[in-house]
Amino acid sequence: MEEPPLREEEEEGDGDEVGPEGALDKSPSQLTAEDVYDISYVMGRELMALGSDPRVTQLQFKIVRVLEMLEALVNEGSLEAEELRMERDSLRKELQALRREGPSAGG
Amino acid sequence: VNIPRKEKDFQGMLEYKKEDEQKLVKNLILELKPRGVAVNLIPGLPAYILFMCVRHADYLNDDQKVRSLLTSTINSIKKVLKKRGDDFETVSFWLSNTCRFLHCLKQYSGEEGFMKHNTSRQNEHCLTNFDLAEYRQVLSDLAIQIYQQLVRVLENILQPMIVSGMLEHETIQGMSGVKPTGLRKRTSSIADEGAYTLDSIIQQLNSFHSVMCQHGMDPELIKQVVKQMFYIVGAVTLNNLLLRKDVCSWSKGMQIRYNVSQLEEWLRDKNLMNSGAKETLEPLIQAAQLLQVKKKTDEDAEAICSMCNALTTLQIVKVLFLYTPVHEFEERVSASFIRTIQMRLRDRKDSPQLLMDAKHTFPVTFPFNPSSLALETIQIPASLGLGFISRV
Repeated sequence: MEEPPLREEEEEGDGDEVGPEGALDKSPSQLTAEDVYDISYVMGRELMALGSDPRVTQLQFKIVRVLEMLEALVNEGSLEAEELRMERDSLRKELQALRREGPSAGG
Repeated sequence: VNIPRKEKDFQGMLEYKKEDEQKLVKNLILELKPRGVAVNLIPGLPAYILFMCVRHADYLNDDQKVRSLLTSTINSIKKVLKKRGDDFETVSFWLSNTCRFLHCLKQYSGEEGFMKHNTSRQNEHCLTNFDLAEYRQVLSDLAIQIYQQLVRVLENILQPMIVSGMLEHETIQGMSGVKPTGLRKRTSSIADEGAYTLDSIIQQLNSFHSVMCQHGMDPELIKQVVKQMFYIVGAVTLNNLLLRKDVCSWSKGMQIRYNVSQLEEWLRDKNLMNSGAKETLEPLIQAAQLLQVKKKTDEDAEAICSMCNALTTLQIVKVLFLYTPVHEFEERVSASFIRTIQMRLRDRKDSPQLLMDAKHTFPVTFPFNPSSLALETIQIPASLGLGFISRV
């Protein structure tokens, strides 16, 4: 019987799934909370591989804190940016409306 | 205010006021998200925290508090699963944590059988006042229930992908006799927009597997889940094969063998070859081989009978009966050949079963899996909102 042909490996790359490690390659401004969770998992695994030395655990909980901070920054940062963007857009619209009204009111 | 102090020697217990118990289970169970910084970095953290609370109540010799905490814990887990029981992530998370909690209750029970792998420090952390064996039984039953729920959830997700991905979608170009003309002729990944392919199934398996790993689920338990998933894929595929003429051809046999080889590759990749998952595909593999072997002479019949030991007589006969040649080099199976097969298999005592029970669930076990984590080093991450409990 014939062997089935090899499947072409082409799906790689258009990937939504780069695996948790992919989050570390991202630009900081593109980071989402999900990426922070992925980073947590990857680092947690590596810390665990170091064993249960109390110093490792201490470090682990400091990293938890740092990642909690990162999570908060990512969430608040995007929220703030979104608010500012909306504010800017509405001001821009207002300005355009006033400009349109301006000349017609004058002439 | 954080005054730097010498790291106090903690005993690995957590104290809370009785009136805070509801707040404790609310933040730690009812409203805890299965994905977050703390639980991702330290899988099983909720279970460890709960156990450390049990330890302090045991230390106080407060049976009322122990009982109340364990009852609230169990009820809260049930409540979460009732509310979000159709979400794979939630169910996987609580299955992992329920098992971890159960392992803790064993590891620190003080029973010698469970202490073999403990460090001497861990042995000092054993419960001293109460025997919680009965609660372990209740938790173990709860874990079984959660496991069954997990299987139902993943079954619901996989089910609609299987027939399309395993049988209908063409992974090998130009194999079927039906000429792929016009619209359908494009390459596989773009061609069937919306329709599931083998890759959809593999991606789904990947996502299930990665969620379970992230939750720190016991490796032995992950193996059982994977075996169950493969069984579902195999059973649903075979059942459809046994019901549809249009998928009983030589080229479909080729297709199925190829798809199965990809699934095996996945198992190898994930180091799950010893999970028993591959074996659950055996009936499907044999049916695919049956589609491909020669079906004419007495020798052919003999070969078929010795090859198809994982298929019932009824299933073998049905496949031969449905077999539909699509290529010029194939021939319909003659009635006399089928009779020969039936004669040969007459003495085989097998079940009169045609379809596989696709809903069958293998009984699950939770082998004891002690952890090397040192309870006295565990801190409470701020994001859990448990500022009202304190380390002892």
